[in-house]
Amino acid sequence: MSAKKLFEGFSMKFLLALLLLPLPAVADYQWGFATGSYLGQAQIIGTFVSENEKHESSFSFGYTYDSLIGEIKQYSVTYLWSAFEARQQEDKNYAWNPILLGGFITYTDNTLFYVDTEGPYPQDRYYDVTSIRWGLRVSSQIQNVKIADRFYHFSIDGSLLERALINYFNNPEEFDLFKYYFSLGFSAKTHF
Amino acid sequence: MKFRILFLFSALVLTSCLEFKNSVFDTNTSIQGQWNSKFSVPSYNLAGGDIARFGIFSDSHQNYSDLSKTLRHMDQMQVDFAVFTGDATDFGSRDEFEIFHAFLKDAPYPTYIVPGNHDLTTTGRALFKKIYGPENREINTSIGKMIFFSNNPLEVLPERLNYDFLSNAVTSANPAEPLFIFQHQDPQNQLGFTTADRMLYDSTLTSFAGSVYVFHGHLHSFNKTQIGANTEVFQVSRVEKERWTMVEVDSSEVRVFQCQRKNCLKVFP
Repeated sequence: MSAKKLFEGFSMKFLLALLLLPLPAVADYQWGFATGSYLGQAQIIGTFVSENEKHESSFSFGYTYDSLIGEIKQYSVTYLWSAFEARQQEDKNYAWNPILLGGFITYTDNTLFYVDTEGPYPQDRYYDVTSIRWGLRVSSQIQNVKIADRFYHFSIDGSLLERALINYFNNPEEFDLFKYYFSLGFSAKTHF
Repeated sequence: MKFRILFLFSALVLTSCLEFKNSVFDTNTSIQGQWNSKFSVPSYNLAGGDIARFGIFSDSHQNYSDLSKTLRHMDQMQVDFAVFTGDATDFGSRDEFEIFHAFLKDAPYPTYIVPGNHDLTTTGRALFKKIYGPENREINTSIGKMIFFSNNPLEVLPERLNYDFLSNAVTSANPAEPLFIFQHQDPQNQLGFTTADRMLYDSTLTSFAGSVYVFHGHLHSFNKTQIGANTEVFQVSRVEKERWTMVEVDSSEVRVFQCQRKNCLKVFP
């Protein structure tokens, strides 16, 4: 069985397994919408937060319409570790968690991209895998904002693609290349 | 309230400094397109003693340090223009094209980009067309006709290779002037090219009454071969270790040099 078939067959289970890995005890479930940060123009997110609020994992389905290549669907898993404890703002109905650090992995099943280069190419891995990308993520969140009896979480997310690290290693003199691998995004979530 | 304002202000500052990109897989680049259509070769008076000098560089992939240095060396060697013979990227992604183009647009001489096989994978074909224009092009210059030929058969299925374009471009060239062909792959490459492809390619060039100079990349090292009596084929090294090829044209001959940094060794004639 080729790697592509293996990945396609087990992709959802694989992503779900990754999603659950960092969660020793889930205390909170959230869902919401996001945009940007490389994971899709419009994203639906489901998030698990651990009991000690130090870890959170999200699964997202992202959709982007691209004028040249059409629809792009992305299945992504994001893990974030909270560097600080969310600080409740005095006399306010929200908390601020300034920095969460982690990573993401995203997969697209668009036919232009591949795990294996089957077909006309002389071998399965003629080109590197292009349907899976990963990177680092930093996030800043406002949590527990109470609006009409529901609590909401808002975040600004920044993603740095894996190629930034590889390129910095290969081209240490070209530090400003980092800007080409960084994207911002926003999300809004609420509790189930 | 103060905190919310601070948060929103921070978000605005961040979004104004950094780009907001929807997807890692999309083609949404801000680069203004059709770069190759702006390419022009200076008008030379070869009979009056002018010497044309141009550079050829290739296969930069993600080797940006050497790409940057090679572009500088070509400037210091006073090339009038340069041609890139493909593989600006590893897998045709937007980030790779944007970085490559950032180096290219700062070059002080005109550059022409020929697509490599890597450049036409994934979103690369759409991005190449958007940024650089059509894959095949021919231009008549004061030093002879230049044909920019996309010969990456495995990446552009089902059409594979546009031999009609090549044949028409060669047939309409003036045999009294040199004919320059820039492409990515070795015309004798066994991979992806059938025997019929090679025979068609060879017969197209050898039937031309004048001299043909083919420059290609892909195999990452310098080499020189010949097709028939009239066609010299020069393999251009990748930019690693700041290697490139220099060509000089005057009224009597075409000279080809293999260069590393600013040291050039004549290999033809």
